[in-house]
Amino acid sequence: MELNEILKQFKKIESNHEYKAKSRAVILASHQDLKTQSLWRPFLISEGRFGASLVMTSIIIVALLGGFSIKSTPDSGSFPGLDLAGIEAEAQAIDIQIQLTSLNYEEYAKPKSTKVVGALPVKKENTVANDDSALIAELKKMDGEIETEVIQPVGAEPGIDQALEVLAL
Amino acid sequence: MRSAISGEASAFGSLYDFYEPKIYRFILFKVSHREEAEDLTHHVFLKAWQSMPNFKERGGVPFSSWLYRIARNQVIDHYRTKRDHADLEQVDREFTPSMAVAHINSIAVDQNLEMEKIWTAVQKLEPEHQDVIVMRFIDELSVRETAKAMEKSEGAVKVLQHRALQKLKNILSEKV
Repeated sequence: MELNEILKQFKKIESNHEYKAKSRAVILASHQDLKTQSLWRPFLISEGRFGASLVMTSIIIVALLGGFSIKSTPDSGSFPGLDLAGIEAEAQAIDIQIQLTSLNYEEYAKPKSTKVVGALPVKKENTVANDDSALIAELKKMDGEIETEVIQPVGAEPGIDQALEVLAL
Repeated sequence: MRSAISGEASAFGSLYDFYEPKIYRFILFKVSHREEAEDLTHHVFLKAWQSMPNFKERGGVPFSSWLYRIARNQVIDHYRTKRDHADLEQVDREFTPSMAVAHINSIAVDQNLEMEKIWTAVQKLEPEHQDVIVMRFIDELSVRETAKAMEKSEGAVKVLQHRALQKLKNILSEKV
């Protein structure tokens, strides 16, 4: 007999009828579970494209809502407890304080530098000329330059130390 | 098919009746054990039934090829698990070809002997050659269906089929 014909004889092999009936019944009995799953399946797993579009849509919605909330300025009507004028005034006051602080610093920096230079020992003119006197003169000259630079922005008002010096003379 | 995909049990029942003998034979050739073949066949159809909503003939894969793919994977998983429990299962592996063909009443004794020889020879083939012999010559799948089931080109299946037949003939001639 031909090989092909013998191979075709194997088509007569069948599974046990009892098993077949039981297996069929068990498989088809799982129908209800499958139906419960299939309600959600299209939205969650089976359609990849649908899932992707759902994600994109939600991102766009969030972006739009976020954009509106950023653009719209809150008015006192929507927030009764909010005092916009007060907040603005407070913000401006902070800037002024910073300016005043820097002004005060500049005012106090000048007299201190003068005192430091003044504290240096000064030798009499009739003594032998040395390098120290020349150095002190140089420093005083520099100090005078700093004084004029610092005093300039403050204005024409003289400081307390300057007034005392004038009185002492 | 559409009814089965949409979850109609009676439609899937018809598909089961038509394809169950083919899948059972295919698995029986692979595992050489009746109860195991029945058990695996049951799992194949259960898996197919549960995955029916996902089946859309993607890439032109026919339903039959899809079933064979599930069956092949099921057998691979079966052997993977079996390898871990080899010692325990060894006792149940005493399968003889006559057990597979014993219930074929309409076959004469001499034919039965021929079938036993061929059965034994097929068992000696490589898994891919076994697959192509069973699909093409026993279950009579088309070249296209076989190619889709084996995830190969039609040309590759033709080559594989030729080699498988050649090897089968060689084995049979060696025995004689």
